[in-house]
Amino acid sequence: MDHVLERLSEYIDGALSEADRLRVKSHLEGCTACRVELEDLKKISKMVGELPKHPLPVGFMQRLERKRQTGGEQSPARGFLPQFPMKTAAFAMSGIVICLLAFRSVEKRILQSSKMVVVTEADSALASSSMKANKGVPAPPADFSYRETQVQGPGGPLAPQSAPAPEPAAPPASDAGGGGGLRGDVGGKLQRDERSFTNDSQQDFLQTERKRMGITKILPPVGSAAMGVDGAPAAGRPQKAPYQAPGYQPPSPEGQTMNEARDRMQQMADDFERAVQSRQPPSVKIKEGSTPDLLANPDSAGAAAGTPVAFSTDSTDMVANGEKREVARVRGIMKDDRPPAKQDKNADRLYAKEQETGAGALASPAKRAKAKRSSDSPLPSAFPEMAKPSLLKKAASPYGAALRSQSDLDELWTKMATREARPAADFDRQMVIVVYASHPQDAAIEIVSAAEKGGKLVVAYRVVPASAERPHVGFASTVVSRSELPISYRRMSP
Amino acid sequence: MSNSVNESEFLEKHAPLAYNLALRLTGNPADAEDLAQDALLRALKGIKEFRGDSQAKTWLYRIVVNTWKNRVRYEKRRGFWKTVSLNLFSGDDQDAEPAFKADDAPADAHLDSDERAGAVQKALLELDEDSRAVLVLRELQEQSYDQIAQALGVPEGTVKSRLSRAREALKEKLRKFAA
Repeated sequence: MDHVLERLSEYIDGALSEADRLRVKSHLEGCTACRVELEDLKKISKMVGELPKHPLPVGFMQRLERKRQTGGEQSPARGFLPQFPMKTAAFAMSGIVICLLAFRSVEKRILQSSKMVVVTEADSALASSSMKANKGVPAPPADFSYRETQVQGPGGPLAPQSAPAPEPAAPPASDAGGGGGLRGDVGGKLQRDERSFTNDSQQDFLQTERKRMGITKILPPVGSAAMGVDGAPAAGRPQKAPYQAPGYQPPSPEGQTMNEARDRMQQMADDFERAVQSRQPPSVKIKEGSTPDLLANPDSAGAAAGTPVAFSTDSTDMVANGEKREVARVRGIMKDDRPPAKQDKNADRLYAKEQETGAGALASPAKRAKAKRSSDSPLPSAFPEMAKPSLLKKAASPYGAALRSQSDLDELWTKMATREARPAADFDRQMVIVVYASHPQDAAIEIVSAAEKGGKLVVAYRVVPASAERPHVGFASTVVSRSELPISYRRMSP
Repeated sequence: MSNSVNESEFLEKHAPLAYNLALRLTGNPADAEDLAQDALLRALKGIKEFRGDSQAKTWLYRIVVNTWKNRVRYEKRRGFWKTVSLNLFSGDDQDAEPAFKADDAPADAHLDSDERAGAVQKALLELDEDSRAVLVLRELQEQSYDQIAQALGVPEGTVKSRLSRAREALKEKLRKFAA
């Protein structure tokens, strides 16, 4: 049998359709549980319905009229928070502003970081020409040779490319077997750097970029009569067979002037290359097809390819040495085909400093002691007052406070910022009860009584219209016998 | 008939209704007076726009209930921010909760001298706002389901389900009296 409990409420109210009413009635005749439930619901309904109706309080209409004359109802929407929909709009606007500010900040950083580009070969060649004039370019070492080799890109070895160099867009060499001018073996993408550098800073930047991209060689255009295969003056240097890119088509005679320009640019690039390499220790011989070792100090010339080589790119006196107190700045160890890891300059600096002092330069003894004191102490030493709990924390509630000491009284009076005189009390046997429950601006609080009841000290108060005798001051206070019982605040009807 | 006369008649006739509804919703005469007066003032402001498509009582009850619910939300927010900003809560006074809680209905003892009526009022205050409103409108103000739906701004089906749940909840709270 299906019970009809959920229909009983409507049945009581006569809100069922005739068919449903008869169905429920029929069910009730045979179901005791539903009948009991029905009776209970009827009693509840009757009990609520019999709640007495009260007349309007005395003076209700007068107070209503006074409210009406003073500007209408007292909206509960007081306080420092704006109300809906202003609240929603305010929060939405503040959220939008915060997002915009964060976006602009991030965008600025992204734009700044994305401007890092690699100087093209042509640009580096142009730069090297001025550098050459300033510093002079030593001759490359005797065993320095241009070879076709795999060029390391960011993602690993790159296949030799036969396409013309991406930058500048010069046509291939006119002579036979010419490579693609500025060889595309460089790999990666070369973009024009828009920043301006000093010579030294440009050198450093180019060197960093070369390492990052894994560029170890820049091959010259082969077949250049002025430069020779390896970029060195033709006289006095061994001639190597020019590299001929598969599928290369020599240009027409009309491209001769372009070829000359390209040759000049390549020569400048080679000069730059030599200048860069002159700042490094001589390289080891590179075997065909093998991963090139770092061009480290001459001592490693005999090292086999792939042997990890610790090297220093700074001045030669900065050598890792367990005996010396000099700082070792190990920039990287190339053990595999991947390009060197990104340098953590901060780590290098801190490591250097650590080595120098030998005792951890990051924190002096005084700093360490202070940090220990801070970690041991539960309180921030700069704010000792904050360690003290508020005296009122144990005495106050949203409706009132029981002040059992002069300091409590003084603290509350200070917080209330009132000009009312402080009540005098003998706190050995008395205490001060203050009631500041919420009430209208045109009303005053009147403490009716403070009596022990049910294990509590019940403070009864009421809100009355403000008058000359009892103006609105925001609170009421009274001195009562001292009691340690918990306080309960009860608002009485006026 | 001038507006002032209409307003007087309106107040004379409906002010007690508004007050008693507010009294059973708040359980506190002082709060009920504030609530009723605010609702009546709002009603007077909008009385010219009152189209008369529902009973004036129902229209006024809607204003009273909406005003009451706004106050409840305000007190909840206010109580929260007061706790955050002042941090002055005492462990001594466990009964001095924000005004809308049942324990802080100090006038119950004077509101209904009958013990059973006092228990019913206290149990009413322990119900959630929706249940309390629908029960008071139905049992005390004798509003129909349709009128309650208009007063609360909800469908009639919602009124039925809320009323059923409210009665069950109140029955549980007053089991010893219902037996």
